[in-house]
Amino acid sequence: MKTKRLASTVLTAIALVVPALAVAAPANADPDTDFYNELHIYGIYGQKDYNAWIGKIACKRLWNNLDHDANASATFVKRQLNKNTTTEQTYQFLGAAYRTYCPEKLPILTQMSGADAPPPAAPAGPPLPAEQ
Amino acid sequence: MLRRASFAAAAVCAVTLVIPANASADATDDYPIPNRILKTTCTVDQYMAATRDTDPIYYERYMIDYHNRPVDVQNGARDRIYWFFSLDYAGRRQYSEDTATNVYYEQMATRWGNWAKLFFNNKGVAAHGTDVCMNYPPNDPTVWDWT
Repeated sequence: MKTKRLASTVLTAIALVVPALAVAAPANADPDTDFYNELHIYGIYGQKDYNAWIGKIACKRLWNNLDHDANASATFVKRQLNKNTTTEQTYQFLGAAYRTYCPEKLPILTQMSGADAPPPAAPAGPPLPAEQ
Repeated sequence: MLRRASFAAAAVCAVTLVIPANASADATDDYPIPNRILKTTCTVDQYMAATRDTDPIYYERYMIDYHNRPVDVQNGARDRIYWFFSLDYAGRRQYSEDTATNVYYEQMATRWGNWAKLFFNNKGVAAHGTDVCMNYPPNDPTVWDWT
């Protein structure tokens, strides 16, 4: 009797969990939720609505020509996030925000990463004997 | 002796009863208008540009509200806040008193209750904005054109 009851409890539990698994994963109709979930991957938490606002406003600042490049955009975002947010997380936030709310702005991020590194500084001091 | 002392005590009590505390509707140096706004030397444009960076959601919501008003209300609110910022500290303090003690004093509020929300309603926002507003250009019409 006891085993039977246990078995039925387990079955009920499975019955409850399986549909939940089936439902999980597909993208939500609400982009804010997708954005929120993506931020969790990067370890960025905080209120869903707050983060969504910041993402949307970051896009708006580009549209309105207030911020002209990804650097300015990142400065804006970093100021709004938790003080412990790293630069890496800031750019992850920015990437997610652009992808979700203004995908046409994504190239400014790739431009930035593709930019040539500045040439190494000229060596200081007198020339070495081999150079003379 | 004891009786005399108790008379004296009663007299002291009576005097304190006669001098009332400030009525709660009176203004203070921080209410209803935050102290930082009474004292700042920034222009309206500087302050708004600052809050656009420091408290972007608060600014955004104010601008959404602003753009949802009829044009004459928008113009009225804009003129009114420029007028307020043209006052010196004493003038602003007096205005704070007037609005605190007379709900009908500010006519703009009858058209748009939150017409000065970005400026008057949140001490934190006022503090963040006035901390850095001097670093922004004094004239920047784009602050009203945020859609």
